[in-house]
Amino acid sequence: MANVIKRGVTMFSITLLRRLIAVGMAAGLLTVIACGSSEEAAAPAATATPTSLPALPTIAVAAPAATPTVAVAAPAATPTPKPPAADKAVYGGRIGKSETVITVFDPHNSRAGYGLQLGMVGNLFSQLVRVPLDTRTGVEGDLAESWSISADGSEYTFNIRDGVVDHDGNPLTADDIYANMVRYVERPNGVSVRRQGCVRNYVNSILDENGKTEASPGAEVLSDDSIIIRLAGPRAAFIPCMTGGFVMFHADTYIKGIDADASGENRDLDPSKGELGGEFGPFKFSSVEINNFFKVDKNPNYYRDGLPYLDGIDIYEVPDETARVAAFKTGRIDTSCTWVCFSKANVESIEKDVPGTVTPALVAIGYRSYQINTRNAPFGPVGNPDADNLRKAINLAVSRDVVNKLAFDGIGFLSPPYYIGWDWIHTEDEWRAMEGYARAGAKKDAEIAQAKTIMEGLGYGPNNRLKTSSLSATAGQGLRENEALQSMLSEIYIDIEVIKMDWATRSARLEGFDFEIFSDSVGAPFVDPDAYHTNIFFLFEDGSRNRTGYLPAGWKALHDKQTVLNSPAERAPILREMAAMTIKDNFMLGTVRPAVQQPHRGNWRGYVAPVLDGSNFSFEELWLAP
Amino acid sequence: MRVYGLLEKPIDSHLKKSRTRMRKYVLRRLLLFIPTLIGVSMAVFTLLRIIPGDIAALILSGPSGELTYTQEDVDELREEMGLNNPIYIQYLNWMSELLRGDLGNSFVTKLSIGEQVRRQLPITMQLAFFSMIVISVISIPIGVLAAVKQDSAIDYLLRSFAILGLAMPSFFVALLVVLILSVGLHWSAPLGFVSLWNDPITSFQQLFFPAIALGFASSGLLVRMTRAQLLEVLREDYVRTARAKGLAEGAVILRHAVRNALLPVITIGGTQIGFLFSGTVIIETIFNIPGVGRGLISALNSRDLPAIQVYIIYFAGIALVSNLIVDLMYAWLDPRIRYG
Repeated sequence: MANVIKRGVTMFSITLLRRLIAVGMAAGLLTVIACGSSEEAAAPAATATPTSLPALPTIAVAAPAATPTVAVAAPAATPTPKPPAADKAVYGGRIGKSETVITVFDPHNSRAGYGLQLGMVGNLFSQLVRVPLDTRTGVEGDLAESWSISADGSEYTFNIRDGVVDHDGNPLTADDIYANMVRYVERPNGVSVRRQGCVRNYVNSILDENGKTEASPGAEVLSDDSIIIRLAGPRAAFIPCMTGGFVMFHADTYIKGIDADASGENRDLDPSKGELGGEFGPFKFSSVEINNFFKVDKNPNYYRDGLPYLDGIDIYEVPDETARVAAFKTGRIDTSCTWVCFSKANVESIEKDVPGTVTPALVAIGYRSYQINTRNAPFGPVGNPDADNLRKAINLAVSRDVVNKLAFDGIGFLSPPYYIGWDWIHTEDEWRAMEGYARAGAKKDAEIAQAKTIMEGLGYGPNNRLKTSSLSATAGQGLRENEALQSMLSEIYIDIEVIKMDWATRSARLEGFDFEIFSDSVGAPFVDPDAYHTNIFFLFEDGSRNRTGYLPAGWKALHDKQTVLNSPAERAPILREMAAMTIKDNFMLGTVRPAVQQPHRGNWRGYVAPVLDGSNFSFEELWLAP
Repeated sequence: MRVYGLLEKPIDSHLKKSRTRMRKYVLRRLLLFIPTLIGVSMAVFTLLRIIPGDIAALILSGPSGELTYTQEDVDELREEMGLNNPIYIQYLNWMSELLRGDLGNSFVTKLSIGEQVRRQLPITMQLAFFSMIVISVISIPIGVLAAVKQDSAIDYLLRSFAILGLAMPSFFVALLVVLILSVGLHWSAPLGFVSLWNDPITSFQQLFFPAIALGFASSGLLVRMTRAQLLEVLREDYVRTARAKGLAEGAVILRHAVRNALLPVITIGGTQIGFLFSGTVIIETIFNIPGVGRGLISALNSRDLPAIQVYIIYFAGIALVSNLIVDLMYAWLDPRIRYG
């Protein structure tokens, strides 16, 4: 009997073993299937079938003599990968790119930055004027061939480029530009256009309540190829505003239907209904699956001869950073999304594992600052000598270099009242000479010693420390910023309790002014001289995020005065005066402007990383070295 | 004309009664879905609206609170979202739309949430189906082998495997798989999800490893269940009888023992359906699969309230349906089970 059982067990084991082997083989087969295309995938799809191009095309854009020279912010420290002199531009290849979300296709519909990825539709659409892709400084015509400005600075006449057709082959006319201007200014059916706020704020109303043209309309078609745009008054920032990445133009036939929808509901362009095709950009829509992928192909009728070089771009939705890193390392993508996609640690890991990776730093939109609640003692009110001295001591003790290192991994940029790229206001050296902005070192040490002396003069010391608190994010850069502040102020007898809370809870506390100190982004303390974001200056009643309860007397009047001046030379002294007021009162301490690192493969040529809030994300000049 | 045998009519009548009882039971359970789903919907709806902070401002401030907005923007969005109405009005409005089959539009994309879920659901179903296959392929043979080789080295090894499966959360397994594949083997699945019907090979590449990560924990449980149940059955009299008849051991185990031992295993396996679907939230995010789970994460990140509400009700619905299926399967597989 025992033998029978033993034999049976043995037989069963053999049978089972056979089946397990079969299962194992099946699993192995699956793995082989899975790994079968690894070689193909690892090789950058980008380098396929390049063909030689005799010479780089020269793009001539006639800019009128009357065009004002308006500086456009450019990151001084952005590394620019220079192609080797011997390289010749080649055609061909596709690149893979990741985005965090693929949903919104109408650039006018972006309620918030994440809703629209400029890196996705930026290759489909064109602008009227733009920041040149090769230098990323200054302004050049895009759909506009040239433009002129009236003597009083309030009327701009744009001449439309000849021979431009949309992706469906329909010619561009001034009517198309007009339809887009109506969208920006009148917002039919509640179209968002919130990222084009400066256009809306600067340009005159176009239509009255009954849909009739206003007496002095903000936009008026002069002929098929020219249009006049009228501003409420002269605005130095108008042209830079028009170069903002979100100010893009569709063919009017594609947006009129949505804008005239009788339901009053605005909606996005729906690619599945053929509503993409009215764009003029270097690449045209190919295929899409919402939340999955978006593919564009070269536009053979692009109005810049010889461009683009690439055959196409495949954009995939990859919301998780781990998946993005894996996709980059294994060759599935050649670059990442344009927003915050990789931490510094992951960038370093990618650079280590993928030799030749180039990682430009894109200067992000947000500035950072510590805001101090001046409504109550001990930090306020402004004008009280003790409170003023206390805030001054805090400013002296805050090392911007320390914040950059601890909170931004050293990739941030100094963020005084104006970003250092606007060096026509103050150079970086001039900022560094101002109170609180010294580099880490002897001078900063002296400032910290001075802060200590001030604190001692106020009665604080090792045995009588000031207890206060700061509202902080629960993790990440926001928390690190607060921890850096806690560490720095500890040296001057201030103990900060870092209160961690999610944004919703923190926001509720801020709305009730129930805080002592907090850190914030959005450049709330600073005026933006180029006014891409008209609410980036600190008028709380205008909806910006000045929570301090204080605004220096006369600041608003200065702000309004400088906005209507066209010449930077005229504006700079006013902006310097405003900065001095901000620094003197120490209620918002500018610290560091964050940077976004966007790695891409080393065989990219002709590509200069964009300034995040100042230019578009077109890959039209990108070509791939074999 | 049909002639009934002595026992036929009573059995037929018994079956009819049994079926009627079952129908009533199913109907009762289905009716119970309604208050449960209403309770879930009320809880979700209320919680999402009583959390501190202005939802309109949160949406406008962007994913990490870095974007600017004006009070005008906030007011406009609040009006658009109907947030100025009392909460019960908001709820009733939402429910009435829901009952009409209108799941609403996303705050973020303005697209139909119904279409979104219809697009995502088949993808999640594919993943769950693959995962069920992985679970079956892994757990049943291993559990049987462990039982047959009880207390041997193989048994210890397989039991360790099962405990490992139980001990490691699926997100950790997923990260390990991604790490091993991308760093060790320099491979990751092709991007841009394709359905099994359009491109089976690519779809297989995209789903195979997520299915393993998703099913690993459940496999651990089922290996242990299979082993324990089989050991118990192997000691039953009918197994001894089968052996005494001279049946080969393989036949005894496979035809007599395993078949009976699998009954509770299948039942437990059924309860894992709910876990599988909830596991897709993490697995789909890590492996970049655009299913319902990733949709929920995306909606949470962008504070897309209407979408969050629909997703949570969907997951509650999955849990209810899977529990009902398990109960029904139990009755179907074991005729001794009766529902009054």
